[in-house]
Amino acid sequence: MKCDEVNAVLSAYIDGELSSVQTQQVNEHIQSCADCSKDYRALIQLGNTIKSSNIYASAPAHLKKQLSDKLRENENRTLYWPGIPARFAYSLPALLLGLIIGWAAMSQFKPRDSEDELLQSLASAHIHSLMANHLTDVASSDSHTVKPWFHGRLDFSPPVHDFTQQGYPLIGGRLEYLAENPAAALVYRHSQHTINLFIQPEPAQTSSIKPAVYNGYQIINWNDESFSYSAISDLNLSDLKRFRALLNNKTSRKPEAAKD
Amino acid sequence: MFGKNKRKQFEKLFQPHLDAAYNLARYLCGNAYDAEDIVQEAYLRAYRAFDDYTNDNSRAWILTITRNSCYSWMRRHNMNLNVSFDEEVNSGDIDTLLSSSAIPQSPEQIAESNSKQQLVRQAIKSLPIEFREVAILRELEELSYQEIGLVLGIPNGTVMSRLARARKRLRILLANVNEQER
Repeated sequence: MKCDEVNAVLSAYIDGELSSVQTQQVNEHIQSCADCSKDYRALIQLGNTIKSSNIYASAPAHLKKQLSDKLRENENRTLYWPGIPARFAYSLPALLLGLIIGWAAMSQFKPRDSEDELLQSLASAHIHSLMANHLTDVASSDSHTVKPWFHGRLDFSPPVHDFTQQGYPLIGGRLEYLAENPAAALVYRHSQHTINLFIQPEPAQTSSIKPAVYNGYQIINWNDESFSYSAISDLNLSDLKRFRALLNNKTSRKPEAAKD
Repeated sequence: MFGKNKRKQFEKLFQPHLDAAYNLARYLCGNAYDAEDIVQEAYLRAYRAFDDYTNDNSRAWILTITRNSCYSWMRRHNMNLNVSFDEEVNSGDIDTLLSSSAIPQSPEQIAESNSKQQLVRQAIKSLPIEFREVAILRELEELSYQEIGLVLGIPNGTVMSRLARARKRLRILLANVNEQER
């Protein structure tokens, strides 16, 4: 890379938003170029200055209360419909019934939709990782190499463990987006099979999703108190469940594993 | 029944983002008083649209609505979208930044804003709005480029180049502050 190319992507570099190839190239360049390395340090410095200057404008305490009141007001308005003309009043019960049926139908279907969407995004992330030769951004079986790599790339610190002893060696990790949310993707191998383990913060609704087969791939989802996990592979269900058991064993024994 | 659950669900999802929404509104519209109104308006809009909410990223969703509310608010109140930012600077020459009104010049102004906090705040406020919003979302909210792209409705590449330019300006504006820290 030349200096002006580096210059154009330096800002994305410090945000961890470049591909692994580009990251590597910028890395090499700033190690050998005094000017760009100075720019790099200045950008880091700028970030620190902003972060340490305490300029975040938090919402005033009364705003939350006001908002709650406004929402309640809004809700009452929609419940009573004070402005509705009397001649429509008779059709109101029918309308309400319709709404209730509609809502019941929606609540039946909505979870399915988001469930399908999730399974689909898991499967496509998995397939993509196998096809595009982009299995890992950081390739290492050392959990102490993989875990720190996620710092600054994610706003949470996923638990990373190697299970080579147990027949599920850690291959590496990468950053993934599932339905537009960042996730830590950890790659494991069992015999010839690749397992993608996706970790996201805040237990999602995924725990309710039963083990599923999507496009021929086996998917299981589960939660613990800090994260939601999805494992996907062409392994059979029992081998995949064994993998989950290994992981659960680690994470539940050390609840602080999420922190460094 | 439904109404009550809906409100509870809504508050559970979006109340945690109240600070983020307010912070964005505060920096976009430029004053605390309007920011409160804008955030309230945004949350009511979001509440009305909540039935259609399928997005999983609640923060990006509420920030998108907040930003739109800011823009329509400013348009409605005939506020200049480049508040506290004069044309000369806007026209591009980065060197004029240093001599512009973006930086406190008179002794009073300097005394008033000699704390780092005020200098940084002032520097961010002096950015044109399209740079300001990208800087807020990245530096203060720490959103990913993809999330910023969602909120602003622009591709990731544009996020990258805008943020790079915003930072370039901030570096110049805050050169002295950085110097002191070194």
